[in-house]
Amino acid sequence: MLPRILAGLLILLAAFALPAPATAQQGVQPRELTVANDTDRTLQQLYVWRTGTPGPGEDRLGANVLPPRASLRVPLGRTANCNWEVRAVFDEGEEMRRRVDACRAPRTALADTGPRREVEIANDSDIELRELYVFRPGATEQGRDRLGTSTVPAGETFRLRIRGDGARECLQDLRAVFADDSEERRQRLDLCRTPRILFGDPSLPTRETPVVNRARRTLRELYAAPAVPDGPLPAGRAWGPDRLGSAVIAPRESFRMRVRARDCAFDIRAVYDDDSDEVQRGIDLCVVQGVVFGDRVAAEAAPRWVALLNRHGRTIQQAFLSPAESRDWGEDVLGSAVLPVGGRFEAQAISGCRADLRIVFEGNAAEERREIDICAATTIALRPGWTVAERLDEAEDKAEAPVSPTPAQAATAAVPATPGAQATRAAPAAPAAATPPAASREGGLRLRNAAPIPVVELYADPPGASARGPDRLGTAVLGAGESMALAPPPDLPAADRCRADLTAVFRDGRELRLAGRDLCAAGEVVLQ
Amino acid sequence: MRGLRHLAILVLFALPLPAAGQATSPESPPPTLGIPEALRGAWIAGDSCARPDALLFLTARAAARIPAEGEPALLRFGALGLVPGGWTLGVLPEPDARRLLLRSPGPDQLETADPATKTRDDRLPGEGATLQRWRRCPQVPAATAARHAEGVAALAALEHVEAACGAGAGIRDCLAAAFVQADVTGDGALSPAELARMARGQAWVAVIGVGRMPDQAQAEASALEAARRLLAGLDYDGDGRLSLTELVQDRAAFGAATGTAMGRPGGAAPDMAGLHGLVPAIGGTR
Repeated sequence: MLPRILAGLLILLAAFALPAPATAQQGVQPRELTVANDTDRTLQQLYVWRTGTPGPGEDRLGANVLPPRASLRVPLGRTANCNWEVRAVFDEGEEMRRRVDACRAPRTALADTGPRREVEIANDSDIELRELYVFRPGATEQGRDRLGTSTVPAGETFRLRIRGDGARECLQDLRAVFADDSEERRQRLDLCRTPRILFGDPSLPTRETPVVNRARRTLRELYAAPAVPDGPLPAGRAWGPDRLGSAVIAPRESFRMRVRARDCAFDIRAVYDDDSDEVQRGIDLCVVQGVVFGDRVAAEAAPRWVALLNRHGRTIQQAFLSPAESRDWGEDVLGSAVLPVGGRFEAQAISGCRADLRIVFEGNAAEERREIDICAATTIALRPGWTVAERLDEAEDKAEAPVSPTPAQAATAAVPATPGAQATRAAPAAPAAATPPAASREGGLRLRNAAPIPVVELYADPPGASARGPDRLGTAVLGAGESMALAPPPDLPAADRCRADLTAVFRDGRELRLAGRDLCAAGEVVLQ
Repeated sequence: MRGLRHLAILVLFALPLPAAGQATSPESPPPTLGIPEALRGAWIAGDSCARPDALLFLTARAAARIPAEGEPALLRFGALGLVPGGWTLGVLPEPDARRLLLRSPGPDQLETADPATKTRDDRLPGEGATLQRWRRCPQVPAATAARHAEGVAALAALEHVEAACGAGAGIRDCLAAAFVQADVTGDGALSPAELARMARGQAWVAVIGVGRMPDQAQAEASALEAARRLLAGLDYDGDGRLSLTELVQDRAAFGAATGTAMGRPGGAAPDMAGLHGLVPAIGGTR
């Protein structure tokens, strides 16, 4: 807008500076009228015409506008006429008219009447205030959005300008619209005697915590919703507004997330710019010092692995594990291999916790299940009824041998085998491994550093091993107060990949050794 | 834009204060060790004092690095200590606990090292540490001083205030310390210019703290607005300046505001209609 305004003013000034053509009125001095916009609104149209003529003629601003507190010299030509009419049209069509004597007063100001006041609008909610309307009580038209193109982020303020001091101008209704389309209204507020107006519930405590993006991708959206009990997240869960508003979190950057609620426990969901997402559940915002997304071990240094167990009575020819948001299935994670009856395959999972899984049998019969939380279910027993089973790894405990699907189950689960062929990620690194199913149920282990200093090295080695294997943190550290997921490393012996001796080395050199830990057991290990 | 709006409210008096009538946690006494006196002040990197590659300002508990090109950094240390090799170690109060090592290898010389995040404390500075040498110059370039000296002064003032607001301090002591830091003329009252100076300085601290170079014009406008608002809200005697009494009014203690037994709610009170407008402002009624 500003370049357009400046360009327009320059053009008008340049036009005015050009020498006037010779006319019969050469003896008369060229006359001009300066029009000053002393309002705080933008002047959209300006008409100036000689009193007594039909008028109003052409818009003197043309395609331009006159911003607040700017003025414009309007050439009137070589004329002895002194009396002119001025008509100004502001935003939303509001008009002002003046009759001026350009000979005596070559300047006319367009100004609002009445004292100007400012009211501070405070957004005490935890989401962005997107629109604000101020209108007279009972009015059907609520007028323009007073925020214009800007918004009021959570916790910040906006200065609302009003004019007038009469009851008509002071007594107003206010309507605030937030980023999640929720609304708050204030009725019959005396704006002339109300210096500050709060939106949101100030009695709610504020939970504020830094959210760190450790991934190599930009974190585009961030959601926080009161935690739901353990178990699969309900489909179509309402996450509420994007807490980042128009901001993003670049790799290695952080953002102070602000939530107003009486609850402490929240589920937090991050969405990256590649549309993958990551959910952290049950985060206690009253306790944690920060929330880290893009866990180095889980999502980058050591990709997440999902064990697929074939408990069906027939060979699985193809398996597709795709981000829940993805429009295509991507590549067959089995590659050129197949998953035989009773076999097990460690599939490298994509980033994010929600995935869709599709398996294809001989004859192109297929089964699929959507929105699997692969952070919670690191082992998926593909058995009759797995597409609707409450627990995906349930067969680990119950089934001793592969069973055949009942006709009814096969009928409900089978769908045409037409996976999209467009590959969107790399092929799996390992071929299918036909090892017997593990005896224990696999889950996922989280490590939380409760010490005031970072953990700089982390080892997960076979129980009783004399030498240490690789540092599972890679080049990263586990910061004070941070947590991470630890998947069973693929380099551990396949026979008992779930069990390991854990050693955490803190930056002051202190070591914490946890012998024989079950990496597949769901839960949290506190390091301190 | 979000950051700029913050500038308007970043005045020194917005510091976290101890609760009324309460001392801060006795378990966290303020460490007394700071960056050695001899190391504090301005340092430059590069061969030319007139065109340094980078500037480093050291206060007692902070380091502000301002490169000629690239992003600045403000490191405010939560802990400071000594490690072998003559180094002073500063540790940031954040999850990764970033560190900076400082030592003086000779007169008017400074050496800094940024250890790798994974390096253990007993192996500092360790492999992968980034070393940089600095030196004193007779004068810092005038343009640099004009742009950053006020912010560095505010950083130093902030440390004084944080020290005064530490363990055992009451709100009055805390506010008094902030007042003294802001009162550059020493006349016992804060003028709009003094308030604006503190706001500008704190804006500098905030902006450098997030790795951005301050925009002086915007900071100036925001600071003036912050000063104006502060005065409008607290200058009770209307003399255009803020006294310490005005600053601590109704903030340092509950005082003698105990009310009277006379009268009753809703009794023959004067017309309170004029006060109704304050209700939403104070209570935020829905």
